[in-house]
Amino acid sequence: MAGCEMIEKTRIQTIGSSSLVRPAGKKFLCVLMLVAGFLLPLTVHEVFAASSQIYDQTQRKWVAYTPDLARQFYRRHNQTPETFRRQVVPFRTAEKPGTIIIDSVRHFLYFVLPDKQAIRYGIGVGREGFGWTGIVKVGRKQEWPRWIPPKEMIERDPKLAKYADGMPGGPENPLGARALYLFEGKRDTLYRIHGTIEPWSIGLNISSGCIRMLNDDVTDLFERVEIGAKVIVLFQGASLLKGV
Amino acid sequence: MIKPVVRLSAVSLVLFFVSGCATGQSEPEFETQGGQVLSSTDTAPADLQLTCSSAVASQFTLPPEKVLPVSSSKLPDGNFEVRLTSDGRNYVCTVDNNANVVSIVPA
Repeated sequence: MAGCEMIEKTRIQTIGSSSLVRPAGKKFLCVLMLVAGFLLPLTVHEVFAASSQIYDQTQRKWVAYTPDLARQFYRRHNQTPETFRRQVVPFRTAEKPGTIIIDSVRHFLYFVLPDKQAIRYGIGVGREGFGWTGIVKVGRKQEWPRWIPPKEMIERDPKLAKYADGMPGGPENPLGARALYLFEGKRDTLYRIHGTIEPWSIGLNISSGCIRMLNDDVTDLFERVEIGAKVIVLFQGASLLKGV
Repeated sequence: MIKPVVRLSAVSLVLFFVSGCATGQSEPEFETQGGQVLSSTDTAPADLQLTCSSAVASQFTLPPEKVLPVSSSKLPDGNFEVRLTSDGRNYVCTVDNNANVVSIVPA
């Protein structure tokens, strides 16, 4: 696997408006930076993971749908926001029923049905720099797939060394309950559509290029999709093209 | 008698803890019902992008599996502009909300 499901934990400290800084000496500035750093700790991946907004009734405005908010929402409601729940929607396309279309910007995966309809699922997609676009196909399907952490990931987290030969499928496996392996012709792209052990991450730009789904959703899709099905991945401004 | 400096430090420490700084909690409080989430970017819906893709393939006699939308945006008049690529050639398609292709031009 080429780095699927790695999550950067690099932390940055975001500081509030510079207009708050008064010429009162270095000590004041240091204290201000320290307090601001505690108040507004955001990670790099949190900043870039939020390309969507959710309505906050407390502030009465739309706010960035960050990993923190996503975790909080999932904890409170034990499900993803309604937008990302599985539903049948109108879908005007000339693509054949059985085609998969991924809208990475809106975090939707469509499975085309007859009569201009599609099943829409919520997904998590590649974070900044890991997005790609292209036309590929489902080359293989696997129930409870094995996961092999990439070498770079093991170097960062030596505890994963025990899985160098692969982590067996199961409830702890980051690939979740099912995986669809995406191929470009006969070649494995190393990208997958798979389940997740982080259901709160649906709706975020958080993966290393793989498409994440809820385990229930990926199981539902797994049962419907056939080997060889066309998969169109739309990603706004992605520089990496596959299959075209 | 407590010195003013000590008293100020003690008050600051209490305020620091009361404000929640010392816990390092970063989780913002928010309230939402249902959970409608919108994209921050006004791109064309996927089906409209693919409508453009089919139209470009048809107009320029290209294999449909080789025409890919790479970006899109909403125009001031409510239509969508979709930029597409095929074998190194680029096209710009304008489509309305009812999936009617308004125009296609090579870029």
